[in-house]
Amino acid sequence: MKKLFAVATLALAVAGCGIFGDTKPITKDVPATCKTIDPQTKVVTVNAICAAAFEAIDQANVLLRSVDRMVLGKLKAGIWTKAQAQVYYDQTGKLGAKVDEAIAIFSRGDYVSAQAQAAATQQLLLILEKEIAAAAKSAAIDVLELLII
Amino acid sequence: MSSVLAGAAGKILVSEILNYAFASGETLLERKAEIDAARALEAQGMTPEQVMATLNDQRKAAHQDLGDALK
Repeated sequence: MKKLFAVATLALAVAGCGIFGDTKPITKDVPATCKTIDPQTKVVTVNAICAAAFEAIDQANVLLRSVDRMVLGKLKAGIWTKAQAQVYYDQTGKLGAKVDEAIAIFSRGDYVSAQAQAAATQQLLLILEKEIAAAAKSAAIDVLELLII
Repeated sequence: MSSVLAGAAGKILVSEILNYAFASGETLLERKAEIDAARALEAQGMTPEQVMATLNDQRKAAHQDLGDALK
């Protein structure tokens, strides 16, 4: 039993290390708005800041969804009460509004501000994600340790 | 005596592994699944603009699901 848990948790940890190294963008192609085609030479130029802003918005959207789903999972599993989950729901709501703002800024063509807004939101989300993992961990470890010991 | 110490050390080690796994592994695996699903959208033929719109809708739907569960 102990070995099984050790192997399972090590597998999770190793998988985690692999994810840290994953820096590929969400989309391989860049949006048309970030490309300029020279009519004479047909050479395509990519606006790097535009593409970075686009990627940051995609990443923020994915991260936000992941956090909301994680909170929903803990709530459904009975790890958290509604009051505990509500705290995170309120925070992801506010961060979602920031992503919407970043999209609006991007649509206006202000890619520098859009990228800054999305990147800042992403950082706040990563902090929130760590907070959630730490809070869920303390509850789950108590249960698992009882099984192992 | 040494077996008692080894047992205690083992429990601490298992606890530390669990700590790490739950703090990072579980969270990252959930996120990895979300990123893989997002990347699959382009592979299905969506343009980057359509991917962004879909991810935005999915994010809002997930927030709505959580909100509904909290009612």
